[in-house]
Amino acid sequence: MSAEGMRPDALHEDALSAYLDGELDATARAEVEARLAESAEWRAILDELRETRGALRALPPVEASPAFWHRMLGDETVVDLAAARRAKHRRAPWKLAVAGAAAAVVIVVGVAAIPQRDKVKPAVASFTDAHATRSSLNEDVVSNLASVGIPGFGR
Amino acid sequence: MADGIPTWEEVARDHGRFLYTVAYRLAGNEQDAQDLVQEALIRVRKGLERYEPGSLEGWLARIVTNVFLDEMRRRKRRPTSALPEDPDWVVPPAPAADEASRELPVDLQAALAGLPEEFRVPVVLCDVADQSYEQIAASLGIPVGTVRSRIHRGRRLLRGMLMEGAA
Repeated sequence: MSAEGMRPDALHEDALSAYLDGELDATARAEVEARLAESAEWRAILDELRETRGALRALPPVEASPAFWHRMLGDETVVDLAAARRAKHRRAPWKLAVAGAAAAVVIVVGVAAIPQRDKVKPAVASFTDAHATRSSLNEDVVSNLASVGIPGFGR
Repeated sequence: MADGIPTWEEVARDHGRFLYTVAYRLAGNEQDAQDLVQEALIRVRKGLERYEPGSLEGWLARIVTNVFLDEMRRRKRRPTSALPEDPDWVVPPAPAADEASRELPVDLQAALAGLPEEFRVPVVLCDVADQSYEQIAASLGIPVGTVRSRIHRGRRLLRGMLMEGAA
């Protein structure tokens, strides 16, 4: 019976998984490769196994919810872990320099955009000058100050 | 880490995701995975002093597997039903998955959960936890030949389930 037509009894089919997993010694590996060279059935099985194994190994890691880790480890440890993760992703020095320069530009632009004292409306400086002028004329500080701010008061 | 023995925080920080992933692939749902990790972390904490520097993930995989098998035995004595899965915390398949995985139906996790436990455990330890046959044999207390046979049969069964589901 040719290798093509017989079930691989002496060399069991599970050697194919071990072959993919690198679990065979050199002798067994050579035996499997010889069988693969002559058996289309084994080659087909190997292809299927490789596909299934590849899919399993490509499964992504699974994340537990943050609430779970808080429950397990306590807030303090979770905060420590978060800090450790941040440290791992700390910015490179040149990125910090760029961020610093950008912050400086924002501050300069922001200061320039702040209304200047003499542009404030109403003009607070002239308002207080009016009070000072009135109070210096008759020395009745309170009534003269108030009459500017509250119409009708002190009449 | 002193003398190669990690601290509790190091285990949690560096291997928490690994532990949870193995637990999830074994259990098949979020609630059971959380229970497994909780119990496994308790055992890790108790056993850290006795940990012998080596493959930490191998040690963690062994612990979470033992917790899983203990739980399975307990449920067989007192059957309970698992809570429904919350898909929100399952990261979707990576877009960069290799060519082989793209040819298979996406519901691989569901098929894995449907695999009989005697095959699922060695398959998960091999293909998710990346353990050698020898490590798996030591974890499960069975011969290496049995591990090899179960991994192979498990993958073949999984393939059959996926193809059946796709038909």
